[in-house]
Amino acid sequence: MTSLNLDPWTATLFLSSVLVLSSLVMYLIYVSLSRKTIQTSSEYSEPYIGGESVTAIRSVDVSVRNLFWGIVRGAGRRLYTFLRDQMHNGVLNDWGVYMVTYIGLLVLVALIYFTR
Amino acid sequence: MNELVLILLTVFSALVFPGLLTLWIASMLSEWWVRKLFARTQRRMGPSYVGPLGILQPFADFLKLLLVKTEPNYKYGSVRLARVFGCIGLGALTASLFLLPISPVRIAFNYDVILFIYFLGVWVAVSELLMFTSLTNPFTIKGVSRFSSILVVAEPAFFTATIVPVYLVSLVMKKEPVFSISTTAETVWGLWTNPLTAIPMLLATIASLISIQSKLMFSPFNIPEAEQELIAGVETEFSGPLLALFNFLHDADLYVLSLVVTFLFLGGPHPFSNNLVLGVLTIILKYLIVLTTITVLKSSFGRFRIEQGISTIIKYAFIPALIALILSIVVASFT
Repeated sequence: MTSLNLDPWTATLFLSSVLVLSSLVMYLIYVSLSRKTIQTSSEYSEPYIGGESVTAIRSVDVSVRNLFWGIVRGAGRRLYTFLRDQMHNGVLNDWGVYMVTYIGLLVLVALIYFTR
Repeated sequence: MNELVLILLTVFSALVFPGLLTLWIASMLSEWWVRKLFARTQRRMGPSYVGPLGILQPFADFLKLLLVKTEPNYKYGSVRLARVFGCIGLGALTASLFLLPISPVRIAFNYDVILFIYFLGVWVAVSELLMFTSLTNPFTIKGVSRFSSILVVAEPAFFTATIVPVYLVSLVMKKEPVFSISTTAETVWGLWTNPLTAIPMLLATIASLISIQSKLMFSPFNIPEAEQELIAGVETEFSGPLLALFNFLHDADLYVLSLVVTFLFLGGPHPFSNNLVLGVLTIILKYLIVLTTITVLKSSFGRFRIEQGISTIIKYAFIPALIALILSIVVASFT
């Protein structure tokens, strides 16, 4: 057994490489073994909605607002409304600003921590 | 030369043991154990025809779905995306196994528990969620909404429980490297022999088992798939090879999470750490005890409603895990 005492950065890279390697091998096995699709009828590519056609529903997709509704109903309704309205309002630019700010903050914390 | 050996050993660990091949075999055998035991509690036979006692049935099911059935050609989603996320989930499970003391290449350093949570908590859950949402369907989205609601409390509960033995081993038993999964797995048994640390350990073990139950969508937390109520919930659009991939991911998650409990809470091969054969047998025995407990819980309850499920996880997993962590901090501060 080989025990590696790596620093956190190298260990993260090492395990990420393991993740990529095993995912890739699994994907190749899957693609090479699984059978290709045979299109038999147009119904084959429709979603299953209890036997109804897609026109029976307003949208195949459901809004992201419906995610986490169990938690929202039980607790956190105010917190969820705040997060949804202030941070994740569906505008891509706002989402970009939020993510860049957050990642920037993480980089700042990392720099302060590692350059002490 | 040493680097070449290390690379070959890493590839072997990722693909053979404890990587993909072992992951597949162990997952299928775990599925058989759960299915057989679950069926017996309901006075059914369970898997019976393929192999002795039907032990090869999950392998046959997997191979038939993968090799004989065809993949859906789906208009409203991306089958390729679902495949990719299924494979990433399996890759993340493989990567997290490198931190347990069963891998030929083992990684141990100070605070490696954070990396463990990152791979096992973040990547696996995100992969599952994105795999589900890749094939859109109203029932799927409803199931995903329920699954993500459960994860909001189940994931913190599981990882709070996981931190308890790691914390106690580092600060009470003073083992190094600190906050390391591997070190904890090797020395955790000592915590059960001390009455002060045994109480938080007991609470954390119960919390981890209940949160595993909910992460795996087993009864009474089978709310995201809610058979009949939501057709098949998150799995509604999965068929053929894609269903095989999802079943593999689900069973692999069951295997890795049960293995984590076996090592981090029950001490892995202890008391036969120095004897390979007895050590392996002890690990298998403890693993089967964990799996049996999960199956008995699964067969003892009917399905909860989503808010009942969430409040149950908060009451019986999240709060006990928090109490265990607070007790651990108190015990560590007095030793």
